[in-house]
Amino acid sequence: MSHASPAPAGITRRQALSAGAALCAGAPASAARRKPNLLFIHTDQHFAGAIAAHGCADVHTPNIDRLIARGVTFHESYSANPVCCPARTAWYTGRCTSESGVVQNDRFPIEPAMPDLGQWFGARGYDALYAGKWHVTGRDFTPSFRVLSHGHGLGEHGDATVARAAREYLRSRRRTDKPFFLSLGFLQPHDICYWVFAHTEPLAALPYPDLARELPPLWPNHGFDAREPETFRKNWRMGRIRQNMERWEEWQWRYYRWSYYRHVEMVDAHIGTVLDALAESGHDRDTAIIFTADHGDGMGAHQLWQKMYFYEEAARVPFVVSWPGELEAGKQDRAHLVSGLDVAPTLCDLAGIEAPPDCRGRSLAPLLRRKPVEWRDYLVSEAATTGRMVRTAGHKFIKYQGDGTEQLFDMRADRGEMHNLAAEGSSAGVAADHRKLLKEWEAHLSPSPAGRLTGTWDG
Amino acid sequence: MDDPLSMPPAFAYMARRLASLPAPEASPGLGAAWEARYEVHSVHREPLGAWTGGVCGGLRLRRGATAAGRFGLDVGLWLGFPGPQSDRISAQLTCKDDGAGSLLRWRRHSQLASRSAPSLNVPVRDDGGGYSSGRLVRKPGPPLAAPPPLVPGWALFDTLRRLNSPLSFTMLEELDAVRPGQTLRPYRDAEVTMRGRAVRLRGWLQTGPGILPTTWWLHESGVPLLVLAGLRAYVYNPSAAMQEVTP
Repeated sequence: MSHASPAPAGITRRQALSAGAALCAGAPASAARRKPNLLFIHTDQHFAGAIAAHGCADVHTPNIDRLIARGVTFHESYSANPVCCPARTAWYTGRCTSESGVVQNDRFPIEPAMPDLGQWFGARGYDALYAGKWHVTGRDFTPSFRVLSHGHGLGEHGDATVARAAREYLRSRRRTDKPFFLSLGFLQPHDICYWVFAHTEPLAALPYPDLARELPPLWPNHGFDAREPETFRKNWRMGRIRQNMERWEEWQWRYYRWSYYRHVEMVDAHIGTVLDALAESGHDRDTAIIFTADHGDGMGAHQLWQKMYFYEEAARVPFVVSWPGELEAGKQDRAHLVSGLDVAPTLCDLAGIEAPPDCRGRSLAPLLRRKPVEWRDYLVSEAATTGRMVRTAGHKFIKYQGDGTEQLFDMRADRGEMHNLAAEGSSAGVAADHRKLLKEWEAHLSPSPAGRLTGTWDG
Repeated sequence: MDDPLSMPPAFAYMARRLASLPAPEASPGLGAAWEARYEVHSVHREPLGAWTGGVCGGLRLRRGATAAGRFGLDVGLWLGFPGPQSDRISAQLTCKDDGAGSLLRWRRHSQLASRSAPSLNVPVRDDGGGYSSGRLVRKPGPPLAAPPPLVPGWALFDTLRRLNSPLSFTMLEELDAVRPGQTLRPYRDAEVTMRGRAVRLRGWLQTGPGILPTTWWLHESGVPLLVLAGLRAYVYNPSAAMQEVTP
């Protein structure tokens, strides 16, 4: 990779060279071999920690758990941009959102010449299919994909249909058909946004008193370090909804998180429908699956909800790759930093085709196949209304848009992000190192006009 | 009026829909045949604003009389989507007359249809299955373990007509999702107006994994008039529109 085309989910130049080599090394051994089918399952607003197999005792996710049991799970997985449209554009182009132009929801369209994965796979011998939520601003998905279902703006109404559409497609396939790239956009647990709208005012009492004993205990990071940047407070701790939530009693926060888990369980069952259909169709052994989410949800951590910021609950997402017979089963990877930008190059690599031009992510195939590869030592996530995050193995550094104030968390000693080190002189060196990494990453960007418009991070 | 802060959030909004609809006549006797239609509503609240929503589908239920300890339940469901597309299901269920309405077997016909883009139409698909000894056998499809009693979600519209004590069960949602650990228990009463007449509703609460607390509001005759889940509501309306599976 050249200087002008780095892999800025965040790596050094030396590693970029190594990454290019790894991309070549990741191609299948036999070119004559039939290409695998690709199933890309994504949920919406799903924090990586809200999965039973990830240690959450308050949620039941037997179907996601079985996917995890038969695949490789990357625990240090971050949204490229914890907002719907930008995160999805990053998946489907492999490009940073400052470059794709989709820096916010619904406002700035994708750069017209930038290919999406539907076009990419369709031109390379795949039947590209889609069901459910798309939400890439400025790009109609019907020319790129054969659309099985447009889904519905509410997951409670549309997700079952998305699963049924996928099942009927899998049932109708013939073995001689072209390999498929099937992307399934489930909407849950996104309906939690509407739950909050419905419950914004402080409740007098739990409407269902019998549920009191089921509410999860209050979490250790319900509080927050008061040394939050002013820009963050302005964006996320002000406004009428937030003012109402400040008057919530602890049990209402717990009720919110309890409800969030029920939304996760809704979509888990639909994922089960698809996995069953895949097995029933006989394609489970010739289909590689990637499961992830566009971003997480505040879930009441730090007394926040929604997304668009970089606390773990909003930014860290599930990332599972499964291909029975080809990849390890039940492997838990806690060492490698992974980004939503890696979806496109990974899918292409598993298919044995080249990645779209100037892809900023990296293929996970070498990691999945246990091939020696020097991996990135930092990644960057961005959000136009907030700023940029640098994540290294030990720390998370956030530089906020506007006044350029910062947060720094020690992710080994303070996973709950309760202690902002940026304000402390003893960590000035660590902050400076991360600042430098961010500068290096930004120097390699080729921002779109919209990216330039909203990407001025220096205050 | 009931205290809005202690009621399910969408109750007051959806109760207004009942105001223009007729209350049911006397319920048929236990074990007798009945037929009912429901509007399926999409309902949500705008940020800091009012509740809003509208009809996004229909549900038709036709229960046969009990014979030899079992009864048939004929179901039609359609849901409308942008596109415009629709998801239509027609199903014939055989349930045990055991108080819970537990499932014995079913046959289903599914159809995804698009009016604007016929190429998106999916032909009618048929599947079915049966349930016994804690095992759900699907044809086609792999079998699933499902703790008894396994009650189809649609059968609850019948079960609740005669339920008089809490029920623990596994729900089979739209014949797809198996949701164990469900409980139905008495909730609270409420009063609404239907065509100018005060009508007392008896509430039941369903909770369990995979669903938001769902309240079932029954007319004194036992007929469910309003069902409130998270963003979906069913409203009893004998004239509710339907789109059926069309071969």
